[in-house]
Amino acid sequence: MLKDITLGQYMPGNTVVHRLDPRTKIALTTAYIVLIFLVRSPLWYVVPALYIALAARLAGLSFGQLLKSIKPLRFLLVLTFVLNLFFSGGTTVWVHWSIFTITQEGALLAVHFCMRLVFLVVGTSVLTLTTSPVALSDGIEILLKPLKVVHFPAHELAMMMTIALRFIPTLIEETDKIMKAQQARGADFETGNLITRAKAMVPLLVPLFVSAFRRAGELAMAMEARCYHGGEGRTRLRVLRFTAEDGWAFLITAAAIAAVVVGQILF
Amino acid sequence: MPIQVEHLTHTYLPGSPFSATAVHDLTLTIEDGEFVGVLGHTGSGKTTFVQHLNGLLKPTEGRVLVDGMDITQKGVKLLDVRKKVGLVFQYPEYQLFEETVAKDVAFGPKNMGLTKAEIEERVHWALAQVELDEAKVGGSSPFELSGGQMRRVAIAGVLAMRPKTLILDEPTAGLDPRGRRAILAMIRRLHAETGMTVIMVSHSMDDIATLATRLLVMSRGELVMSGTPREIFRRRDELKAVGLGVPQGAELCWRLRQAGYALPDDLYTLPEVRDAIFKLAGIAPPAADAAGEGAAPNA
Repeated sequence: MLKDITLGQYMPGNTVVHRLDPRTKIALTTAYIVLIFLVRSPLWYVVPALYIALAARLAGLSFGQLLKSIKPLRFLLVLTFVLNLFFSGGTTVWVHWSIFTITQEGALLAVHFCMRLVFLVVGTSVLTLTTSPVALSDGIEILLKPLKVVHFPAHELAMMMTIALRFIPTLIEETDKIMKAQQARGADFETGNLITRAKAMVPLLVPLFVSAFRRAGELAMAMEARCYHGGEGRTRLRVLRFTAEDGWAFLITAAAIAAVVVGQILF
Repeated sequence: MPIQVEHLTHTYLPGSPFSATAVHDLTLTIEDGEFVGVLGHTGSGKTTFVQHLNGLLKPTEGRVLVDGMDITQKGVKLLDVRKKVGLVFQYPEYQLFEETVAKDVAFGPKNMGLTKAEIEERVHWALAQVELDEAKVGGSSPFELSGGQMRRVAIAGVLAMRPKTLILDEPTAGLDPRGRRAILAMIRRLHAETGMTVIMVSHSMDDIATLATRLLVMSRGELVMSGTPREIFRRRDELKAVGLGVPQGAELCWRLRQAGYALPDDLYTLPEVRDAIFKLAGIAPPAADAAGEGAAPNA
């Protein structure tokens, strides 16, 4: 049951979007977020919609996969919609019933905020669907490097991310094993009230922590044995390089932002 | 009452692109008091198979009967099954969690809802079975012990439930030769003295050769051979084909026969091979033989 958990949502592939430099993808996702916040009326969401449709098409992602990324958000969406619909105020009243008032402005705002949320999540999930966690942390490391000037530990942060990601499946497997071992000794993790259940976790958590610390120690030793000494002077196996494809991606994104900005000024 | 396995199939993550069948259509019976060795290459489904015997895994297809209780049935209390079938995992020392050795061993009996006196009695008995001095280590933290001692504590933790059947998954993995010998001798004695059914999973032929009365050989989730060690170890080529080998004695015997020496083809323990070689050479074998671990089990 624990093995069913997949790490992130990365869908391996070899499309243009998959091949893009992770730095490009992170930068473009940031630009895309800005683009969404530039949209002033619900109608103009047609631009990010087209942009995402194009990206998803090129990445070979189905509509269903994108829809799945919004699923955890459904309650927040409903809440946002309802709150904005009833409590935004405004002058053009559509419906008025006891304390509830629905105005045209409120309805527009409700749609607007929901769209914003949906597009934010869908857009960022295109990034995580097409970029492996390791490529992502590589990209983040390089993008954060300039912050070294203010002593920001970019390399260490990326290394920690990579290690954490690497150990999630291992720890899940370990948890599964210890759980089974304790169940074989009659442990019960499934019944009882909150307190009994919390207590039942002790035989699981203690060995898990012990083994996590042991693994951490062993890993540190293994890294030092291979002369790891931090990011200083470290070269990479996969050197990130911008290609023409990255150039096109930047161009298309710039066009989308320009369309929204210029379009909203003119019309 | 025996353990009956009927057409057991287990598929991990069925229906997903990651689905993998670990055990396929296994049918066998394990009688009371047997010492069964389960052999197989890494990934042959040994561990998946034994985890069905106390209900930790549910069969995808087929059924498992422990003392006539069908573990797949809804009404069956898994705790009852786990009281009867104790499972010692691979590297069991990683499951220890209590402050003291005695408390950790008491975990199983406590979950069974026994009285304090009974629990104490069982802890005492179980620690004695694994040859640990309760007075010396009972009150210390399990994390202060050596690896071999921790493993004994973990085995005691399962023994304290007084199972009728004891399953050990690779009990000697990662131990030094002395620790290995000690654990194997302990298992041999447990089986002889308590008469419990023992099922031992291993990929070490030498570990299992002198202990088991019956061997099950698994490959790619299927049972490919079943029989006494003497029957199985004659089939060297078939064992090699599934990524296993034969014990040192059998290997030596095979090589000598390849070189043209007329030795029997069903020897596998070192003492009997030695005696056969002496006999062939016409020399009287040395009289003194500390039978010990080299001898074949009394089937």
